[in-house]
Amino acid sequence: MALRAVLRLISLRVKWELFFRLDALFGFVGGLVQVMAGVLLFEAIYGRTQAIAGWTRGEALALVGTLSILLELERALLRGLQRLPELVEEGLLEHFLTRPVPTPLLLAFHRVNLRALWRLPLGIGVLAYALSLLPGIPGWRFVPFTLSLVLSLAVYGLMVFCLVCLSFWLIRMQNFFWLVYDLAEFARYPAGVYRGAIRFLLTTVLPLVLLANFPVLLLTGRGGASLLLHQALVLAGFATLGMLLWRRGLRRYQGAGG
Amino acid sequence: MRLRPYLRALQVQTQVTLRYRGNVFAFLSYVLIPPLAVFFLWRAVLGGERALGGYDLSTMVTYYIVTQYFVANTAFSAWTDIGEEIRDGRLTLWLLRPASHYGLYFARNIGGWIPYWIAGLLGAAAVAGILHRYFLLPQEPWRIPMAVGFWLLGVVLAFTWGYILNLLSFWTERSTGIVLMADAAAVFLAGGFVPLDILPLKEIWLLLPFRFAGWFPTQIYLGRVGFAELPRELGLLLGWLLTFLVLQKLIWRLGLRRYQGAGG
Repeated sequence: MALRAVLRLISLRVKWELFFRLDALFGFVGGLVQVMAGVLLFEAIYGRTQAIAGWTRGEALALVGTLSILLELERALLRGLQRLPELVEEGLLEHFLTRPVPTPLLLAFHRVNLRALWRLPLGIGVLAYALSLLPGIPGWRFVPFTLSLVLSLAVYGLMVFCLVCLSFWLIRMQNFFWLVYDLAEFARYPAGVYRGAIRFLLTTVLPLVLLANFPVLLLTGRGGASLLLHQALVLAGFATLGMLLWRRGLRRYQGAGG
Repeated sequence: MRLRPYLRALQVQTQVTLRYRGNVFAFLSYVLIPPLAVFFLWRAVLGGERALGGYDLSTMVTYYIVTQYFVANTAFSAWTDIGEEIRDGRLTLWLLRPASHYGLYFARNIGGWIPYWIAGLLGAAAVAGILHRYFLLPQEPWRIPMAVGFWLLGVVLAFTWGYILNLLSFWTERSTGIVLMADAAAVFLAGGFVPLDILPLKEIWLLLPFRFAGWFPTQIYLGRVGFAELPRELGLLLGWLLTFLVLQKLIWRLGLRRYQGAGG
């Protein structure tokens, strides 16, 4: 039932997005610029050095590609979550609460963005190029890589969800969800550059380093099943926190708006 | 030209922004987080007295803190409402007002940004405090007002560019994608991601006007541009600004001929 509703929402959104093809094309070019910025940063560095904290050029570019894929998937599938603050502020959350589908799921998927999916090949292209610089990667490693990427997407989505749930306590927080996107800056760089307490923080409480680094470490054979277990534990933690915030928030919600 | 309506628009927009002060402070993350994150990368690359393109670790850290303040506080996409109002016919209400549409939106834009500029200073100061071992102050005090002056002209330039892109809504169904694409490109071309002078093909990036909204004022701050070069650069900046203003007038007139105000 819930899955059918989600698929229907996606199909309606696809039709709506196709109406604005030219706009989608420009959105694609915008994505290209962002990915190229990440590539050029590493090209500028690797033009003068061999490795960054033990990461080679190929591995760093794989990181750029993987993060781009992850962010585009989040942008494509889960951006509906951003509407929660507005719905709470305006008192319009009932539109979602009264439907026979789990509300957080409905919120997440009600604004599927086709333009972001168009940008998915950009990240895939960078990843493919990076892999051409890393010979000898066996095909089976794409299984843990994909699994890790899915876990990362779920963790990232739940981080955004936890943040937007704060809108039950704050009046206006349009800029607050940018916090989590700004924090994603920490995911752009090889895990090796973070040390000590910062590294611990960025892999547990603010698990930004695991988002793109863990899938790449699994793909390049520098990590094992413990990384997947780590991601699953972090996911469970954020799912519990998200559920708690949602329930407490709903108790506080009055539907009056303003 | 009567300035009063524009000053009033500026004042009202500042008040509107200040209604939600928490929202303004949340924006600090944009000034605070990227320089902190990138610090770890550059520490790994430039640690141990190494340098890249004339940037040692301190210069690089300072570059990111100052540039991030400038770039984060520049509205490269102007105001997306402009394009949406053209599309749905609400522009008609603006046409009835005895003031320039560009002028009013510019005033509103500046008014809306002033609280962010002030709050952003706190953010930049905080990150400079956290990374105080690496943050550099200019050796010649005149460099700070000069950098800010160039940046403010860069803000006008960036707004005019974004305004022109929004006007493309006279011809397209929706200009959001164009504006956001240009926004991402302008942040990159302003040096918001990487210092432009260490990039491959730097001659191309440095030819474009967007560097005046981030990279160039930061170069003044860092002492990497001499005083003798400033008149020439100011001339270039004003030349670009004049070109954009003429283009804006032209597109506005052509667009109005096409505008029907029906919306939809």
